[in-house]
Amino acid sequence: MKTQTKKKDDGTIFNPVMFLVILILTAQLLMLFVEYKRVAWVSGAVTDTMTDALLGACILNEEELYHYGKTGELEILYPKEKYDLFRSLLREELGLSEDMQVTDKSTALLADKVTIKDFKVYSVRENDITIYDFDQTAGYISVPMENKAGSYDAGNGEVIEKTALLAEIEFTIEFMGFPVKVNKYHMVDMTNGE
Amino acid sequence: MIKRKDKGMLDQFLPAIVVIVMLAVLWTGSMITASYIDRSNAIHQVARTYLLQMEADGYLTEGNKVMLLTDLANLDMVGIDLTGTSFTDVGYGNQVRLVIKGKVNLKDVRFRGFASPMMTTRQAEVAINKISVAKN
Repeated sequence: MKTQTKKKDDGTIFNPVMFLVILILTAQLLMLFVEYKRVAWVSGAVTDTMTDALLGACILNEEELYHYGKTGELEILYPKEKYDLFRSLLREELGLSEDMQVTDKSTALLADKVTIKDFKVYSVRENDITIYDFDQTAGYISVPMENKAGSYDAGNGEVIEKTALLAEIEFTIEFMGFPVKVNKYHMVDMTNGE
Repeated sequence: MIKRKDKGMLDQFLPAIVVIVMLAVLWTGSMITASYIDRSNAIHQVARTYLLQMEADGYLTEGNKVMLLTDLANLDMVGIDLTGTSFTDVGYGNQVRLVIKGKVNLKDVRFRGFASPMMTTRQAEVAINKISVAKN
């Protein structure tokens, strides 16, 4: 018995469904690319602002200046002033409210609030370090450490040799509609402002 | 028996052509948006550079002002207004402020009919307000 097979239609690579899939995938990839670029820029801009605020806080008051002129030691006598100045510069540059919340969400770079997770003043006098460690309520404890200058590791591989300020902040950025928490850290040397 | 007419070349290629055109529009739009971000970043970096200089000088010197205006103009910024910026020495420990307002020329993709070109230009507002403390 002769069997009859149906001849298959000529196939074509120009399949509309395939093109639709390619179009959707490409659109999503491009959106991801643009969104990633935006988030990277925002994150970089906030980090720069934090660094600038830290540099701004590297200032001595009259008493500290007098002490510096007399002893040649850049010793921090009023650490709370540095913290307050850092916080105020950060707040003003990022357009945050008194409690560090984003005020206008329609124009703000950030989705939520900025938290100062860590703020430390490393005050070096001769070979001794005094660490002023601030908590999130702006209170601090001081930890004196003898003969540790040049050998004390700040926890990030950086050794404390001279008076320095350290800050770590946390903020939220929206990525593709989802909130993403970002932590940024920086330390500046007060003797040369770097 | 009537032979069915073969699909024409246009029928075969039409979906491909439509998709290629749409991909080109998407690609161009994305690249233009990415260039806005790069431009914004460049303007902020210029502002930051001069703010750090102001920290050291205590104000925006006349020489730095000219250089700042040139740098911003090179980034296609027009109508630059520096009102609010510290132009006199504020003294050690006081706040220095750099305020930049202006408009930046941006390229845009807009469909306005087949007779008009899709690439257009538009202006976007730029407002930067940076502060620090003088160490001069």
